[in-house]
Amino acid sequence: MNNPIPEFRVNPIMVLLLSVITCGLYLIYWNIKVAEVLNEVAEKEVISFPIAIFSGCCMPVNLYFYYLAGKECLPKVYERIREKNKDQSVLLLVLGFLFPMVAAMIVQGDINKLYD
Amino acid sequence: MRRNIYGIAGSITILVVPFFITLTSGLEGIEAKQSLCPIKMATGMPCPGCGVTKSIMFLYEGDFWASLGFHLFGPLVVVAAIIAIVVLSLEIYTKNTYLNNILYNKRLTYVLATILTVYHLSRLIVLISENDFESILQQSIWA
Repeated sequence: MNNPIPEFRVNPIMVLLLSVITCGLYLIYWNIKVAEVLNEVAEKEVISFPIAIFSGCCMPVNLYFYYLAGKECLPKVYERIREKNKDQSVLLLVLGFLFPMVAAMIVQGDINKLYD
Repeated sequence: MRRNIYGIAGSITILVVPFFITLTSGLEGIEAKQSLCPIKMATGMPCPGCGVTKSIMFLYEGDFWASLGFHLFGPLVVVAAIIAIVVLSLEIYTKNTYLNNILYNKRLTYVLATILTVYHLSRLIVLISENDFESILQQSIWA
């Protein structure tokens, strides 16, 4: 899996606004695109596409999505952008439960650094 | 291995939570109860997943049509959770992976996402056409 990382650069504020304006519909699209990027960065299939879709419509799946992103994918992102490694899984789990849009903003913010 | 355990735990949660809500609260007046969905609490409008728990509760009661009425994907979520428990347990037992060609199939993903999007859009259109602004806002925490 040495494909180039798919470009998915969105302003985190836009993620929040679009999620609210579209009543969560945007998060389905966002989950799929982020799963594509994170799987490519991790160089393995970490987040399967059904997980990405159902995380837009089912609470425990949503938590699993953010757990996988924080535990297995974002450390690879930090490695790639040469930033200090940190485990965001607990923070993303809590935010994913209470404010999924804010968790999405954090993940998007870190993904955007890949393209700087 | 740990991922499989979390996957099984999540799937069991999906199946068990509606069961216990049905046991403790019953189905009476369930339509009017405040949702815990952040989008619904903030705007009064449902998110794509709103209604799945209620759908599963009615499915457990044997009312399939009411279940579909609350969410088209409710019964599908139950089937997917049961399949996930079986497959993930098998993966732990045999140390092999199964169904990867389905789970990582992009075409299937976009088909499912399109169905969910069209369904949610039509739900929103019906909601807006049948309710005024105030009654939609009643579903939020601002009412």
